[in-house]
Amino acid sequence: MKVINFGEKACEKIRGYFDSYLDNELLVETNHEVLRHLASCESCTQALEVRARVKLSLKRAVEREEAPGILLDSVRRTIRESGRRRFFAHPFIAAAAVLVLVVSGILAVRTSHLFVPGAFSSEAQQIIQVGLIDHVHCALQLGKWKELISFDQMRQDTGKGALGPEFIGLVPLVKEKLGPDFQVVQGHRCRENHRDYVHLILTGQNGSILSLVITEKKGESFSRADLVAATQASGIPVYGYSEDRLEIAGFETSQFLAYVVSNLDWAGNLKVASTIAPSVSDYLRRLKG
Amino acid sequence: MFLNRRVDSDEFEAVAVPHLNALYRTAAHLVRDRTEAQDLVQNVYLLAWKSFHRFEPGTNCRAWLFKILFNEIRHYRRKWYNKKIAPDGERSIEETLPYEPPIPEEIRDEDILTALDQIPAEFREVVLMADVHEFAYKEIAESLSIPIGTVMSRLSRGRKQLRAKLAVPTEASGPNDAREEVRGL
Repeated sequence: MKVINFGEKACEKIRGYFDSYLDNELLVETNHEVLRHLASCESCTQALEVRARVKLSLKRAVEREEAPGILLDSVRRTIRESGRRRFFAHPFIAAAAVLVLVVSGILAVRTSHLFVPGAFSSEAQQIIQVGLIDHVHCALQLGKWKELISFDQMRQDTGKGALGPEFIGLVPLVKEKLGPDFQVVQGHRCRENHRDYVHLILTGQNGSILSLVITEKKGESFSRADLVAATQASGIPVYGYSEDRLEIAGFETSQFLAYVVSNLDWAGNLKVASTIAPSVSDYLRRLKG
Repeated sequence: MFLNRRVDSDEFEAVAVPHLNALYRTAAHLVRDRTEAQDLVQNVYLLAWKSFHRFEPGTNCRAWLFKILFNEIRHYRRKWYNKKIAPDGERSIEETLPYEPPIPEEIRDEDILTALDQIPAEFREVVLMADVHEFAYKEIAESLSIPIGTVMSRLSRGRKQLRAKLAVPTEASGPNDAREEVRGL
């Protein structure tokens, strides 16, 4: 190689292009400029070789590690189980289901895709989001469904997130109503989107994760939100919805909104909500009417 | 409202699952905890599957999954660690050094992985995206929701710090002797 002394400035300029050159992100003219310089500058050629070597070594080292087989199995299982539950995933299927349920004598059902604008009134969408958001963020995204807390621990907990004497009674009540099919993983108070929640997380068979989410009303009401009750549980209207992979059922007292959100199928989620709605409503009414 | 595509789990598996290793490796090096990385990746797939009806067939599934991963990692850091990441304006000691000692001819995997873990997370994620997964700058910018200029600056600084961590100073090439030789590396 014929060595030409370009001087520091020329080398500095060319080396400033090295990262983009290695990533094939330079414009054609700049690329030629780098190549012309490299053809005559041994020092820059060596510097580029070092960079290329580090880049290649990093790729090789990182790619040597494989994801554990258990992760692949677990992802596949989640997708497949979730796929089977997607009974109401498509609005056409949801519409067909509505007809069937109406004919079956159930008052009325409205299901649709939660995130499709125009599917519900904005008020209805907002009230659905209130319950859904806590389940998605707290139970699923933060992975709290995996953090088992004993009833004694919940009872003794006095922190900000504790259920406290006001709401601790919900745990045995829900447990008794749902029986051995569900386990109460934990109950706590949490805050999402400037709103306080009482949150019970349960798990069931076949990987089902369920939240009972309770929050004080801020002027909202299921009955005023252009929604129709899917069923009645001892005279309490229970409103049912289907997000594409989550089912949401809601009921209310004069002070509280209560939601059951889960990855069960439509009927299963509605059954859970209907089973606990009378007792939970009664419990909440005794607290604040 | 009836325009959503019907999707099935086989289709999702076929386009999304092949990227599991890449997502896991990235998560593992960004949170530096293999168990947490598995949970994050599991969550990425759950979220991706939930919104798969909005994914357009033929578009870049890998970039879409990485975008979800980075959102999850940001959420994870904010919620659990509140890790302080050196902002763009801060310069590490390595970056301010005019002298960069030579890099060994043979770079061992454990050395480069240790070096990678030592550079700030915001540089690490860009370096991983460019060097390991070979994303285009535009795709990195979109995945991380940052401008392309920031991608380039973080990449340059991240690689520079990586080289500095890998460097083995020798007695023969002290700072003063080598300054002119390696200036601008």
